Amino acid sequence: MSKTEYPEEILESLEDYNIDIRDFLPGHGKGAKLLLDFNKISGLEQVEGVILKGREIENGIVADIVIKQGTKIEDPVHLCFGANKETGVQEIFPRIIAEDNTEVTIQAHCSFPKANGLIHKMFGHFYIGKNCKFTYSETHYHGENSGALVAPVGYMYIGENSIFENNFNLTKGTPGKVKIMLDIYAMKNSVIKSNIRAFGKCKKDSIRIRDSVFLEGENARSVIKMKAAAKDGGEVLMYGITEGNAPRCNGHVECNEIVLGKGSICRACPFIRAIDPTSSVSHEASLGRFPQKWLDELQAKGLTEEEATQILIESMLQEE
Amino acid sequence: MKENTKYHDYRFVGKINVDEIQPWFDFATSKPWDDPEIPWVLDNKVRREILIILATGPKTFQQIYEKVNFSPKPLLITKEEYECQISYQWTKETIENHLMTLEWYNLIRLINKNYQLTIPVLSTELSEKLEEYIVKFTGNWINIIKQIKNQAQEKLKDLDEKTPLYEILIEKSIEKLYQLLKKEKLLPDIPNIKALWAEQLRISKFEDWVNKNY
Repeated sequence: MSKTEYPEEILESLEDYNIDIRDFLPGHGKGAKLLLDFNKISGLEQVEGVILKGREIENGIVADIVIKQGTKIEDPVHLCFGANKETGVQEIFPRIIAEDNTEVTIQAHCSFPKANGLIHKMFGHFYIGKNCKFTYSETHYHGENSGALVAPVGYMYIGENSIFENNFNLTKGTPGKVKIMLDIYAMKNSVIKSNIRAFGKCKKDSIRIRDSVFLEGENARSVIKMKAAAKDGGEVLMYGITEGNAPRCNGHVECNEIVLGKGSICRACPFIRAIDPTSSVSHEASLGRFPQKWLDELQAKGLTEEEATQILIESMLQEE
Repeated sequence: MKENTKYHDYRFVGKINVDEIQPWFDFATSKPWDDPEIPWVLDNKVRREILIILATGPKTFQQIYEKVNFSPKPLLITKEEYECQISYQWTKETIENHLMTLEWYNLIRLINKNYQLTIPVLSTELSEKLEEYIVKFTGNWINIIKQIKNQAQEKLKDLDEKTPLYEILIEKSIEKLYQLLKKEKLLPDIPNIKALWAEQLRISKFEDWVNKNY
């Protein structure tokens, strides 16, 4: 696909994340691909072991992505949900099925560089089979006008002995209004890692994320790591839920949030529940400013407090 | 509502008798923050699923166990192209834990080895029939509001112009109406069923939409 077929603004929009979307376009790399230009499918490429089918609907698309049994692919399956418009509604209904013994990474890019009243909604279902290694990474950019309303809902079911990693990254640009709800159901011996990073930068930014892991199978394990910052009036609410419903399951919720400037609000609601008497669930949360010792150490190297804080935020929100 | 589960001895069953909003209350609802009408129990889809299964009638443990499991289907890909091999099986121990949680919150009860709901769940069909009465109810309310609109405005003229007078009046009136209807025994004293209703509607509407379009 030549670059003229996909809006240049979207292709360049993730530069601050060091991501060039051109590297993921059809014709580049070996992974399967689905590109959405607002409500039109503008690229679709399949590879062996992956069935990809999409259909345009009034305000978006319905898509099926199936990873066939035993398929192990190194190159990520790329999903690009871009909209180079100021306003409009984009609705996405993806259903992802990874059959038993598969290994796959799905890399989703959601970019709305001109958003100023744009609504992006997703209602997704992920079904991961047994003995799988599945990574889902989503990187968002909502422009610089705080003009997006982004409301994805995801239900994820992780089969026996599978490892599932979820990464959500919204740290560049201005988020606007973000309301994310993820429910992850972990079956026997599965391992869940969920990493959320977000940065609200002004009064118009409000990020509310509910990330829940329900440990439904024996020995299922999970870690939710939520890292966020709010500055100049931004609001962040991180709601991390872990529920131990099965014998010998083990879960942990960790939340770190930094508040900068007056009028900003950071909230954390780690809600943990142990239902089975042999389950074990824990949480830790810290909100507010960075420890003075860290700031002092950087200031001793000649940085101002603001510069030191900026460096600490960037390192906190960086992918591990 | 009389509590008759085995957890009865461990629960606070006294009557909360505080009318004024207290600091430990939820300011949005004026209710004690630790005892919301929709308990956290319904966060979990499996427990919601169990309640929806029980909405069709009492079921034994074995019947619930067999119904909770599922196998996903793609939205667009046909059976001829691909048939999904994945299925999710909840263990008996986990389902037992979910049932105990629901029982603890008095949303279900066990009678003669059959689990049954203590609350009603509306089907989509019934909710459509209800629509007729919703229109009648609201129509009557609009007439009443029109009649007393000027009177209320005159009495409350000291309020700032920006105060959303009708929003406040309607919200407070509905709250009061609930209380009075419960007092008059026209409403049962049970947890709010809105969440369950919404869940069932969401599922049916999404499935209908998929069936209609694909």
